Amino acid sequence: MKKNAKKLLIYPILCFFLVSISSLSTANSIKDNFMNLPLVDIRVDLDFNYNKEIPIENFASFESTNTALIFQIGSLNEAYQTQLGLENLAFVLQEGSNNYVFQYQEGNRNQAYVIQNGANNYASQYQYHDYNTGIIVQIGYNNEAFQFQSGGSTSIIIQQGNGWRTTSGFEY
Amino acid sequence: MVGGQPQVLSIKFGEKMKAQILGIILLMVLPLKAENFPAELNLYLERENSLLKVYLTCYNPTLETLDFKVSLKIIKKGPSGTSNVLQSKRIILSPKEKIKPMLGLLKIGPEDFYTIEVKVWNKERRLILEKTICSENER
Repeated sequence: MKKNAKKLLIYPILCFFLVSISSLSTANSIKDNFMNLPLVDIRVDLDFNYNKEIPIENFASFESTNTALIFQIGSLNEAYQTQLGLENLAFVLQEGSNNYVFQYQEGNRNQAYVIQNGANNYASQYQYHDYNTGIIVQIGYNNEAFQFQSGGSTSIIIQQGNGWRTTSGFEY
Repeated sequence: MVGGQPQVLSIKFGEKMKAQILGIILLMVLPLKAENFPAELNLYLERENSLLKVYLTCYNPTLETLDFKVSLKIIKKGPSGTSNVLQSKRIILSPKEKIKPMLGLLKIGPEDFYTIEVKVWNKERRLILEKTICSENER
């Protein structure tokens, strides 16, 4: 029983991260092969928000060559990221349902990532100028993703799952 | 005998992979032609398993610089949700230059319905081309 319980706990988490990582690596290979973009030097130490309680709203705004990370677990979370300048990275991971993400990047060679695991989530990305990459991965059902890109850019949306509601949560 | 096994396996694996790659990639090229517009635009739809890759190629066959604007809109609806991609770019093409200005990639399931819309505006910002493609399972 304990082993089964462990499997039940570990497998969904493992699958989620595998899907996330494979999606990101696919995105990178497409970006590199397709548009021959230069690699972005990422600095991760400037801001880090970790929020486990609900509901919580984050806002991060930076200039060039910065990274903004938001992790939210639970329902009814909202994440807002605004980055102005070059070579920024915005990343939001939300675990739960009825969450909301807004990402805005203005400048060249920016990257925006959203990973949402759950149902009824919404993610929007706005990127202006050239060589930007926007990626939204949504696992669950009845999600909505919106990307607006002005300039030569790469857009990737992966929506996975047509699950149904059960008494214990969601199944995929 | 032991040393020979991996070689046999790798050959089989390679053959299988080749067959799969040939079998699962579906490529469709749609030429986009507009009157009095010299640039050669092609819309590529590449389907690999459940991934749909949509991109444009633009080529300037003339000896003059071309200035125009292109937009690509992809909407997907299905049980997993709705995806909206809206991309636009002003393009200035040098003579004989070829570019791939934008790329959209979506995961498409068997129950999903999607539309792809391409619009082209000329230098005077007048709409000169509009093309819409819908998936087979239109609702």
